[in-house]
Amino acid sequence: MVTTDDRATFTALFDEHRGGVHAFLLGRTSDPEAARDLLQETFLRVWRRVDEVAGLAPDRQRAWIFTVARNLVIDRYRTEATGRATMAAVADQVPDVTDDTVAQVVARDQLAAVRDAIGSLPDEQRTILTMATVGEMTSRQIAAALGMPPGTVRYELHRARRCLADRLEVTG
Amino acid sequence: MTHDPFDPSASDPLDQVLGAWAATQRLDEAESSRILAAIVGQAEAAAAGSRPSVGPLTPTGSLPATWWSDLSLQVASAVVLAARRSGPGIAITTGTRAAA
Repeated sequence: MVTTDDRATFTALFDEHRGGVHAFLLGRTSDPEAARDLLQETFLRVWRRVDEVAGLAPDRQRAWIFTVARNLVIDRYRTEATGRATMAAVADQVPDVTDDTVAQVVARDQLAAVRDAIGSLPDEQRTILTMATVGEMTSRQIAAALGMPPGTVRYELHRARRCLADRLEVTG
Repeated sequence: MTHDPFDPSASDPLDQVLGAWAATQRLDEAESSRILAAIVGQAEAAAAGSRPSVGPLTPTGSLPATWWSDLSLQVASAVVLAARRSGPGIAITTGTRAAA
């Protein structure tokens, strides 16, 4: 039986973690559509255990939810046996250039360059960078989500940024 | 990280390009709402599907509240009609038959 309290608790959990979980899934899959599907599946599982999850401390909640998300990514690729999706899927979200202004074309090319550079990062660095940028998560939050020390997160983030700065020829 | 490193107003060029990229990747409110509604709808449909049905159901899925009185009335009417059609030879009487 679904109660109003369950729904309110679930909505609060969804609002709190959706951005970070989505960023994590985007970083792991490099596929926006897959990330949305897996986000929905992750929170469907949260819904089924909402009483249990709501009783956990905030960091434990985050760890629980991200463990579900991580397992779903593993299951998906095990099932599909397709390996890691390419960042080409992201290109679908970039608007057509037909009627673009010069500025828009330049912006589009820059975004494509950033996308390619991020796609070339090792999995862990790409995931951490995506969680920090797209998910706007702190290193402590990322650490709790991924089960690693905050110092390691900061170090990997630093390495990812240095690599991107070199590739994009900008200062970082 | 003690500040938002991807603020569009950031002076760091890398932060600026990452901020622009990140903005194209985030879930917008409409998409978030759609996903939330899909989860809640899916969960509630699953919960409704697992409920056991009780008793005979009408096509609309529930038994009318007056089903017992309706049935009793129909049975009583049928008995009265049958008695009227059968004639006096088989009429059920009490007490007077022995006296006759």
